[in-house]
Amino acid sequence: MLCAVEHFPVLIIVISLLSAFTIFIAGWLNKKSCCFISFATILVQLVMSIFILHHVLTAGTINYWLGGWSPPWGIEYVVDALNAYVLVILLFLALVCVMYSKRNIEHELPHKIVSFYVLYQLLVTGLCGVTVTGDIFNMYVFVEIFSLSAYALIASRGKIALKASYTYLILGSIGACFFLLGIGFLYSVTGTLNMHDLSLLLPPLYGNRMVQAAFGFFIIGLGIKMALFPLHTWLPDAHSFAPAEISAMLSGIIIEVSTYAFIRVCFSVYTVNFLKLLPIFDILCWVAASGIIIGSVLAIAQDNLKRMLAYSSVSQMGYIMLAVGLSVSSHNELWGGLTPALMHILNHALMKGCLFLVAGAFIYKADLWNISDFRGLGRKMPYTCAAFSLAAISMIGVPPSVGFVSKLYIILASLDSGKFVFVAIMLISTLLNLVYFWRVIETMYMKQEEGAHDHSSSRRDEVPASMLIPILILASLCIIVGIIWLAEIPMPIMDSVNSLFGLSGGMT
Amino acid sequence: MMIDEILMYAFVVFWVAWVAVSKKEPGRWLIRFCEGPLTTFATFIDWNVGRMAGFFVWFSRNPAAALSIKGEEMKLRVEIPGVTPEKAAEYERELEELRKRQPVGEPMVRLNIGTAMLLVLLFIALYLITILIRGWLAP
Amino acid sequence: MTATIESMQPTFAIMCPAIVSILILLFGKWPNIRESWTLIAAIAQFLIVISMAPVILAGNIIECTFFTMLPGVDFGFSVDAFGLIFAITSSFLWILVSLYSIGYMRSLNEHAQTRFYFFFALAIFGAVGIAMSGNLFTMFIFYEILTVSTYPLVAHEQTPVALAAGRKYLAYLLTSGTFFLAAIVLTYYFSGTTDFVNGGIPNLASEASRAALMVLFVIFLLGFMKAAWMPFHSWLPTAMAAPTPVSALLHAVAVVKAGVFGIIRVVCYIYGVDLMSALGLGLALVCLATFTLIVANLFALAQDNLKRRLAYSTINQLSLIIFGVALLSYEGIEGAMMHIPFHGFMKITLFMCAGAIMVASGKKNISEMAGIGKKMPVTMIAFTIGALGMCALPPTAGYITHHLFVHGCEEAGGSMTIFPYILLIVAILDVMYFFPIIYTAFFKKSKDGGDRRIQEAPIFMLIPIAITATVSIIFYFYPDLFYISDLVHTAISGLMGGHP
Repeated sequence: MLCAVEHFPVLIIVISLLSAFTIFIAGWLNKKSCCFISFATILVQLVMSIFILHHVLTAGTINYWLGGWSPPWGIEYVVDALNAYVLVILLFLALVCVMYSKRNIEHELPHKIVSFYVLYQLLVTGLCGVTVTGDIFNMYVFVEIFSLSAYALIASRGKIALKASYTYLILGSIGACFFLLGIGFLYSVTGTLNMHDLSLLLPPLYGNRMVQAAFGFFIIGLGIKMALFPLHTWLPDAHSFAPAEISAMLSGIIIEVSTYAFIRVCFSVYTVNFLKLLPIFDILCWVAASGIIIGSVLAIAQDNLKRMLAYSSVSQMGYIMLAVGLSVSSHNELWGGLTPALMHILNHALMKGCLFLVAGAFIYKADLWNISDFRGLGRKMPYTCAAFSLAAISMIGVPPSVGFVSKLYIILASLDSGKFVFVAIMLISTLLNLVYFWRVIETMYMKQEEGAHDHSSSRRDEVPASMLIPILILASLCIIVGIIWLAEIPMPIMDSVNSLFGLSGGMT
Repeated sequence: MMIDEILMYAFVVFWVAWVAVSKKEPGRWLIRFCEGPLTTFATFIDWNVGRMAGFFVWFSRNPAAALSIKGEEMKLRVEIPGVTPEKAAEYERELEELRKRQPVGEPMVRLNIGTAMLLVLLFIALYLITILIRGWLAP
Repeated sequence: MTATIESMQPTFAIMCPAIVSILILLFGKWPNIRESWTLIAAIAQFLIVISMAPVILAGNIIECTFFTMLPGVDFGFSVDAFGLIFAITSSFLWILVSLYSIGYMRSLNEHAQTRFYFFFALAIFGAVGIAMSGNLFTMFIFYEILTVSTYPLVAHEQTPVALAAGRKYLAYLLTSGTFFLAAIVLTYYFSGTTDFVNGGIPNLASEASRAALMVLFVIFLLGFMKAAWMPFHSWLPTAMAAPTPVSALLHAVAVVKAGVFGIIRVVCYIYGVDLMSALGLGLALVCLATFTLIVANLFALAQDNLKRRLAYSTINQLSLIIFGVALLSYEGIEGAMMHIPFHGFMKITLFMCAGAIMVASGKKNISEMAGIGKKMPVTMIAFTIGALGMCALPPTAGYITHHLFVHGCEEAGGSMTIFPYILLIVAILDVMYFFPIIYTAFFKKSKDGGDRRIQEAPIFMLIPIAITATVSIIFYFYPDLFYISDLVHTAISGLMGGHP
């Protein structure tokens, strides 16, 4: 007998999908209703995901057999602490973005409101699907769903955005192909697509060339999707030209969910034993470290705010991948295993979400794209700029913000693995972050507008409340969540993930 | 009372007496040394640190372009300027112009699918090579 | 022996400026209410802080812990005698500087005053937090808050010069912050704790190799660039672009003292005196401090801008504190700890005088100040007292600490016995650049006959100046004012037992 919560994984996807069609129909009748339907759906999904998280932590993993078919014949949805955690983050950011989008989309895409929300809801469906599924082919299908909606959403502004979307489309499809090839290889060797089944069947075959090649395909395929450093080339264009909330989702969630998929493949399909067989994760650390530095250096060069943030995302993905790379070799109970990586997934979603929404607010209000045009904004839009400063300070890693906590844990993890180089890399990256974020803060607050000598001349001109509230929520969470991390409140989730994958300190 | 304290009072008395008599502060040479060479040296160091920081930001605008500019500058420096003063002047002018050149910022939109695909292919090639080599080397 | 008392007092003291910073923002439109909040909070904070002194003097430690950050590292406050000295100094001077800045900001009709007061309160929040934190991690959090919150104060003028100064300030101090973090994490990695322990963390020496400890100490020093030791000092003179109240409180007391406070914490409470001398780091630190002592004074001689000259004097005096603690002897450390409040009072007098001169006459350079002593007698007499203190002449507080440093050198023995003579040279250099200012102000006649309109600065500015100058003298006769010398003795007896 399943209790109600155990139906939630599938319900989350079904209501999301249904809502997409409802929006399509309701949008014909009344354009204004789209946003509310979307908001309500995501709110319900979020509540469900919180119940799921609670259930997973108290009662253990949820296994839901779709249509009652038992695996490996049917599709299985498996929700453990890792997916539940990612699910909550993704739905929370989606909720905040949809709240923000109401006014922004009316302003930016007045003729495409309906299609925007339909696609947005499909995007959320795809992301949730990737997160809850326990079947690797099903995961591929959902990856395609969210990618396709993302291509369309990025292109929605038309003109130059079409080019950006095209780049992403080509590269994303290449990535998906690799992912599919990897799945095909595994299927040909084992004859199953269920992740749990795979993890049981694979260990004797770890020496098999086919299985190893499949892993390579997974890394490259998902590496493109999550903009791992040398494969990040689609990201800056896509981030710069998408509407603000989509940039926020792209940077805060889409690449993170791809990272989740990568973690899932590494630890649930393959296992820690396979990763210890080959020095893949050591190489991954170095790739991530170069990504951190090069991403930051390129960010310094940008004058376009959203583009700068995009490069900063490349560098932040480096943080996450560095933490993933260190996860096998650091065994501490607190900062060992996947803890720093998962921690930074949440932290990056909060910080980057906030920053992109603020960038969108500047565009909404005054069509300001370039940092050099931000003179005197600190007086015109005090709340928005304060939110930006908070998020930027937390990107730099000033305590007690979320950025500081991630930095601290990654440093501790690299010390724990005996890789002192990465401590230096993290510290250098802090300074680089300082250089490019402080430039923005300085321009906003300290540089005066040209021609305006009287300070009282610039009047307050804030964005509407429905856009301001999401920004402020995210900005304040940057500090609050930092303190929550420092107080180690969410650690049970991390411990549960680590013990699931055999990574925790207790297991060694 | 210790000896250094007495010396200290003696100096204060000396200073006051000197000023009272000559209306000038004693130790002009020391002050001049501080105002002259010492300050110059300090500013020089400070300026160089600032220049290094500036160079870093300049370099990061577009590393590839910045590297090529620096390379050209090096090449010009290595070449020996001609004996005639005109040539030397021209050489100086070229060097000066080169210094003024800024690396252009990256283009806004780049369709570098080709690069990315090349990278991907390279990765696969590398990967397959490592796998193959491992296969050959393994007993 | 020492007992640990759980109490919320430290939290209340720290929260005073945090709460008032929000009130300042809320009441930004009403300057009078805004400023009275600052004053009320400053007084309340001082009263709370000083009320802890009797408890601490009885040999207790006041602690309040909130949560565990990492195993063995709690986020919480722990007030011991040494921390309380710093807290008393900064909270008392905050009252005076608040008064002073009301006069200063209003007479110059400065812009963005709400922002100024807001970040000022935040900076005090950081400083008192540093004073009361019980381990390095907590200290780091407040250390960074202090750095970031002072940036808007340094760049307050928003002119290109001020912006450049702010950028330099941030570049130096946040870079040093990352070194500090690295050092903390390494310490934690080696010993599993970062708590301040009397006499040093016990297992640090056994867990880390000799070379590692030396490298770690260098990283720590790089982390304390706030102490402005040479050659990493150049942010401090540049930061003098800030309004004078900021230079006064932050660059004579809060920020720079946070740096030396940290160094003393590391030397005495992380490494411990025994380990320091076993590693030979004491002598290295003394040499570094001596270098800064002399070179900073030479630079000071070359300055004509009064505030810049005072800035170099600050660099010199900070190194004096580092020098004292590096002697690793009872009286050296006593002098170092005592010099934190003493120098704070004297230097703040000097800075406030410089500000008063600027407000009253608009003059910034010493060469322009001929004859100003007759127009502004109160200010210049206070200045003279402060200057005497810098030159370690009686009857000022500076004399006492100078005396302690000299005794400390002799107590340390060995090669340290030559250092009293270096201190003498330093004091002579001090005389050479402070006495000309007094001479110019009182005895030189200005060439244009003097501007008749120049008169004393507003009363809001004169009162704090008079108070700090008086306190600087009172310290000479009665060093136990605000429990300072008792607290110092309590702190040192905890560190090294009784007086040798």
